[in-house]
Amino acid sequence: MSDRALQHRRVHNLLLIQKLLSSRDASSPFTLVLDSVEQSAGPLVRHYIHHAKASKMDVVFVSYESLKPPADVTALIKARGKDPSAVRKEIERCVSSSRRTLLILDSLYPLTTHPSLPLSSFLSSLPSPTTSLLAIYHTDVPLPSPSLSSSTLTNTTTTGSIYTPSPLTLLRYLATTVLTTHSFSQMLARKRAKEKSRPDPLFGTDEGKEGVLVGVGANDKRGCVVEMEHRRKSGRGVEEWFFLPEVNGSGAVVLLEDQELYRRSDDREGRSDGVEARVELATFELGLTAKQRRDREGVVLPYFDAQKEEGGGGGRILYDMGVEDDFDEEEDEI
Amino acid sequence: MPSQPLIPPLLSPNLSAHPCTSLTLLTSTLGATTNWLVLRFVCATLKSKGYGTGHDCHITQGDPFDQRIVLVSWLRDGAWWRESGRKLGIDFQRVHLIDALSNGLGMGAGGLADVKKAIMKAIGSKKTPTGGGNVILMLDGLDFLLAATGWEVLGMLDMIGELREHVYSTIIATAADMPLSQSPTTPLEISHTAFVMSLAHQARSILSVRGLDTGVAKDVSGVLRISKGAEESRDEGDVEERECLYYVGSDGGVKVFERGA
Repeated sequence: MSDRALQHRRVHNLLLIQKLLSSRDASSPFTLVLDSVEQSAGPLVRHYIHHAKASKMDVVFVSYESLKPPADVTALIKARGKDPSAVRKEIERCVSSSRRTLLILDSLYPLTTHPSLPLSSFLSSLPSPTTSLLAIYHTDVPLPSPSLSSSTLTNTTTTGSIYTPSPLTLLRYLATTVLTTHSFSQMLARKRAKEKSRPDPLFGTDEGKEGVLVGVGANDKRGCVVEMEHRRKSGRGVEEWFFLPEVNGSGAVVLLEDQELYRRSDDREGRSDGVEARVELATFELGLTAKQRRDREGVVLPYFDAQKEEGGGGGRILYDMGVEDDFDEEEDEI
Repeated sequence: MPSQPLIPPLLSPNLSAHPCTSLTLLTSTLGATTNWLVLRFVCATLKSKGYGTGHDCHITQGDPFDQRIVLVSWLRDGAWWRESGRKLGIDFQRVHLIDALSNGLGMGAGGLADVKKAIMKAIGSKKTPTGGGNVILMLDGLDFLLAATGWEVLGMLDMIGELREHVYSTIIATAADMPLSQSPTTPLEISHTAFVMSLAHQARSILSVRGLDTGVAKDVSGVLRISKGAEESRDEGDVEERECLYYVGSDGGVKVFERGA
């Protein structure tokens, strides 16, 4: 990709993620976060809350599984074990129409497994012009198979039938932005493997080892990698990978390929650390510019022709007799 | 008393100092049980002299020495726990042990409500009228009920969530064999996987034991992997991620060591 296109992407997509994180201009009424035990949505949610606080928004946190809500939450709704309609009433009570609100659902599992809840109409009733919804879906928690739920529900609702799309498909369809979280150190490991044409390293349950749930490098505290898929109002999709450092740490959100550690592994790989350090210390440029390289290639080396023509014939001594040389017939047969 | 130190030095930071409301998940496989680990948690908790971090909890008042344990086990009976505890010099008088195996807790008509009532009663009885102490809840083999009764996963998770609100911190030991946690197909496997993975999402740290990848060895019982769970946040101190080997001796002593050590 050319530098200009990259620059363009950098500017536009960074603005876009900032806009999404601060829920400005109703940019994304329903954001779906797909997380896993390898990288939880925690750091991302903290970013959202941090930005919401900065722009003086209310944050309503609906807790299905968290015992302790993240800091800086305006209102906490304990939804565990409650019926969705009761939860909706509580949400309506907490969300005022005059203030902009960020509504966070910490797990969609209870809603997706609910036997008679029409998921799409429930979720689409939550966002409003002033409220944006952020819902977390754990990709590694499997849902009961639909054929089973339809056999247990004899008097039937349409949900759970084997013909309806799976909840994840439905959620992906409804969402205006889909954010998938990945562990930073695992992304680095994948990239290094790819550069050396090695097979992708596998983590967690993919490792195929009995008894392993979580991979090495899960929930890296340096930050998390977020894969964004945003749908504009026009319907055009924007895809991008970002690196989000911890909220209170130093550093801002950057494109993944601009992340220093991530970028470094490609052009510095293969050199020892010592060499790398010396290169950085030098006050002059050791590399070549494109012009210098072209010029160097154009230089014709001396005896180039001689090497080409005579080199193939094996060892031969080429000697010009001088005046003082005495030609000896027996020895000097050329 | 076994010859090894009661609490392996490599493990000690992971066994105590749990922040308030934290969940620790222990997972086992058929060839590697977590019993020794549960016993170490009991031992470390009884010995510990503080709250760890996170003093903002609603039940942190009271005597800091007052850490008590409610241990509910569905896979081993009371006699077994007492006997193993005695070998390690653990005083089970201070542990409120619910022998769910012999009682068939949760298997009767009352179902989950029975389980909740029994555990809540145990938690209540351990709180002293003068402000209460820290109750550490340990659930061993709760997943057995999932298979035995076919309850909804969500109901079990809701119950765990509710119990966690009443105690200082929680430790749950469950199975995570290949079919029960990776690419499940049958309804039982699916619900078990959903159960284990949901807990993993709520946990602060996950300690998984498994057999040695290369087969059986004379001086190694298995591999222990300590991972950071999803629920960990910055202000609570760090869970150090590591993978090490362990050996459980015939006298109940445990040695935990790095690979190649």
